[in-house]
Amino acid sequence: MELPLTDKLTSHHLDALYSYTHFTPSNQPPSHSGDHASKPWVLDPHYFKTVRISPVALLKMVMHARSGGSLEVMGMMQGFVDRSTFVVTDAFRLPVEGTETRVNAQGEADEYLVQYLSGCREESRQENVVGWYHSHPGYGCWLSGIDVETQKLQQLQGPMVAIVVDPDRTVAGGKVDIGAFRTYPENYSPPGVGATGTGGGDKSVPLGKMEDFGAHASKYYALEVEHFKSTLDNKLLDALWNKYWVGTLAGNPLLTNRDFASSQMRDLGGKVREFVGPGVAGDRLSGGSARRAALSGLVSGGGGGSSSSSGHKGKSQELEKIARDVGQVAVKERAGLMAAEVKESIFGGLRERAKMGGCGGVSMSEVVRKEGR
Amino acid sequence: MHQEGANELLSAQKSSDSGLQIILHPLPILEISDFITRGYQRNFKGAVVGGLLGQQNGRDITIEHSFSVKSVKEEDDGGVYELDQEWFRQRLDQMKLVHKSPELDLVGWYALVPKSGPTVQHLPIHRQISAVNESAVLLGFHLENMLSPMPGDPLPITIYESNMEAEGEDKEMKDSENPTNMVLRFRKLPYATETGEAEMIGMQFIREGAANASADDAQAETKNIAEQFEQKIAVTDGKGKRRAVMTSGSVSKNPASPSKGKGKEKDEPSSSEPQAQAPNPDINLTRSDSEYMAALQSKFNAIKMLKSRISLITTYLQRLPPAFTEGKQTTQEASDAARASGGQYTIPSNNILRHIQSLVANIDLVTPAEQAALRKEMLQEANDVKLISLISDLLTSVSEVKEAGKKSSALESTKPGKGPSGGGGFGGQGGDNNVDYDFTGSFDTAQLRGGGLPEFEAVGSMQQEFSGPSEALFNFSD
Repeated sequence: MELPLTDKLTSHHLDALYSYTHFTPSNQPPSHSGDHASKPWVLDPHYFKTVRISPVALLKMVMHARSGGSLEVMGMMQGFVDRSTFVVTDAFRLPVEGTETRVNAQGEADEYLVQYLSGCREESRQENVVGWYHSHPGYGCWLSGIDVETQKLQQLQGPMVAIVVDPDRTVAGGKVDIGAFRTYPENYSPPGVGATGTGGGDKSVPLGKMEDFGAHASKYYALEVEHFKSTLDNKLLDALWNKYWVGTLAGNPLLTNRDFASSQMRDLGGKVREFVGPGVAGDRLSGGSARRAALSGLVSGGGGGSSSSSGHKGKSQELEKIARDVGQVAVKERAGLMAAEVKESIFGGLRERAKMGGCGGVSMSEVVRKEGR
Repeated sequence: MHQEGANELLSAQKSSDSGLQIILHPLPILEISDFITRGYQRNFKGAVVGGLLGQQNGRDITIEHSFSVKSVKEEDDGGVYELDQEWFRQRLDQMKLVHKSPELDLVGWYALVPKSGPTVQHLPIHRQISAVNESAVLLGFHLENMLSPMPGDPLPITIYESNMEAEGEDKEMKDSENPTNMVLRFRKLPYATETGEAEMIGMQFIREGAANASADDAQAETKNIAEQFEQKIAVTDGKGKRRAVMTSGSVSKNPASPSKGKGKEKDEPSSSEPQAQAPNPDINLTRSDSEYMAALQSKFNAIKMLKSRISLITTYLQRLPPAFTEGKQTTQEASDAARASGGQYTIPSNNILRHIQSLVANIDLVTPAEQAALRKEMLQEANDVKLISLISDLLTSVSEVKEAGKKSSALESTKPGKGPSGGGGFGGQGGDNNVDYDFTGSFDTAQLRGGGLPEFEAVGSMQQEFSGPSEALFNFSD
């Protein structure tokens, strides 16, 4: 029941992040008290640079986001602060749903939060809350207006980080789509931020959410997301991994992601149409297809039509973004096609090859047949 | 003493045939490991125990989630651990509240268990858990296996179910004066691991890179970031395009990153990286290329695994003792002889051979009967993919043309007097810097090749002939 006395399962150096007392020696201030001098993040809005997430926290957040389907879900994270890094050791769910339309989503969960945390203290988990996470199913990792407000409130209570997970893009792209953000204080203008802001980066934002994204993109910045794992985790993961290679070979990503890819393309089509402007496509039908006109409309940036009011520079940046987004979809589709082709070349024609007795198949089945008698 | 106690608790019956199917997901495994590592690092003195949440549909039990629980040691009761009932009830309610879709319930508990099986120490808590769920299972984590791991070892986990069994060999019906003594017995349950898509992707994310949990000195930190880039894990820095440089160990974003000057520059001097090596040939990969390569890499690993498994089977068959393969010996004799031969021959086993035969027979099933339909579908898929690639290339070209137009207009505007009279009809060159060229006129007059995809032709020829900015834009037809 108790931990056997041994030092072979863990290493003080390699698993240091799992110890809590390591990070509160007398010369390091505990994160939630003290004056301004011991809280450098108060003075520098850009103080925190990285977030390190434990395997448990990551998996829990991804699973929670996925289980919510198309509803946004939300939860809290526990951990501590180490210089300019947030260390997230655990995450837990909150009983709220559909957080994007209500500011007070967290208010509902306050009681749950208080009870849960006091329970944790009793089982001697000393970590404090260091942030909150929520999901954006299908529309990327960035902070909406409501999220920005929520995070601003959170940051008043101490060093907090906001994490966003997109379960749909995670599954479609085969990579965890996750982002970590902190908001700037009011009246702080971050240096060197262009029209597109920092939130979306090279991730595409669907049409329906563009306005929300653009309006608040300059109010927060993104932190680097890293993961860490213990030596014991390494060993267990190796043991588990032996079971997974089958799925890699047998899976068909094109099929599983068909819906998502189609919705992406539809969305991009809408963006292009909007970019080109309403009037252009109809007018110029001389001598050729409407496609030509649309193309020219693209190049000329939509003339006097729906101007995005960000000027010509904004237009060409938008075009680039659209091009980049399509490029991303194309890459994923290509990878899916490659998977299907690999499957075909390995397993296709097996029947013929087996009949021809290639690879010593005949001798093998002969041996087995003999023994069967 | 203790060992005998442990064996006593294991059922005398053979492996479970109660029909319970257990499906284990990866999260509980990692949660237990997290508990253990944390325990060691913080000198935890209590018991490593927790609850298991999952779904129970008749005979199928899934174990999807776990949570650590508070246990207290009853000093007066001989030092056994028990759950804090109040705490447990509250925590279980909280868990059920947030795990509504799918709805999870308590299906068992976990604890550190010696290889020989559960001991009397596990009984009190097991009884407490069974009070909540009659068919609660015990997930035993065998820490000793991890101390001396063998390669190819399965997970150090055994799942036990408990039954009340009649004590003793005597199974005859006793009358009411001597009631049968029922005791708790544990039985091993076979289990399978299953991983959902999202779990798989999360696990891959965690597994990649050698990022360990060492506390930061700046070196360790940058090393982790380097590994991250090396393994091309998705990292948002939200600052436009950047190129991930694949160097093994040394960290540098390609300083010429095309992010219009907004890119995060993380130029760690290579001297601080003890493992900095010669420049990597992959230095100019764009992000999409690296993603594609990562997909190829994982496919390659999977294929390698498949190959090694197949060669394992073929080696086994090839090294069966020849007397056996010729049918001159029975299996029993052959296996004795093989064992005696000290590793020269593999030990034949009817079971394994039957498996292999069914494998060979099943090869037939891999190729589907409807070849034509399959081929058609594959073609359709391939067409879709290629179409998307084409669209993507088209859009890139369009944006490049726009750039070219901008640059040329900038040039034109510095040469006074050129005006709009140049061939090709550049419109709207006023005093203001109207950088949006109206190419529509030129498109109409240009001799676009008929048929096919005129847009592509035009764009293609424009790109080819991009010698000097002004000239190129005058030549739309080749």
